[in-house]
Amino acid sequence: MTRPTILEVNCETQLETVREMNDEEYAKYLADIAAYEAEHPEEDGSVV
Amino acid sequence: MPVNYSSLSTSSANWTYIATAAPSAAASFTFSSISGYKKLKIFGYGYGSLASTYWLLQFNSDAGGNYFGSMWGTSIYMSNSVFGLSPSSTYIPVVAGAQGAAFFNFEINNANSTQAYKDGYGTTISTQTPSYAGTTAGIWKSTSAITSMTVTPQSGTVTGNFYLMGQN
Repeated sequence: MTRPTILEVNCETQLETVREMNDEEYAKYLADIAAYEAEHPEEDGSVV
Repeated sequence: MPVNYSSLSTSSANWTYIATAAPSAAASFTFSSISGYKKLKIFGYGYGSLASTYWLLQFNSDAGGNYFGSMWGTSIYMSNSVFGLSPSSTYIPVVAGAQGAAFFNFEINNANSTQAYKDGYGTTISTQTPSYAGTTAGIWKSTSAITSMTVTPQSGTVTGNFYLMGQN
């Protein structure tokens, strides 16, 4: 599975940086999804 | 903490466009290298990948308990239609229930001040069924000038178009 991205826009240069989440960020992301699914079992838990 | 508020009460010019962020299934988006504006306004529209979640606003990558925020509105997802955070929360909520199209607007005062805390307020609308409409307010308890702003869904991802404006 491709990891979600992190977007940063530099307001001085207007440069846009898109990167994949690192291991630590991705672990937190998955934990947040798990917490969400536990709290909202009736919702569609699909992830874009 | 002495704050000279008279220095903040001056006439203001019109809003100046700063930048656009167009996240696509992103876990967060950030406006970085912000400088020189007394006021900042972030606004736009998009949708989240998960229903019933909040979008969280943080400054300068500060994920500590330095925020104080609340949200008032109408939705079954908000107990008593009020969402209050502790005085030591880790974010300011700017959107609730964002699986449908979500619009929000949030304006921040004292953005470049190194004396005053940063206070802000805004509105949010979500077309998620049932829809949600609300107002939000919050404080970042820091005397650092704002150099970056990050919006992160509480869980899932965000897709949309968001804009940053500044005013002096």
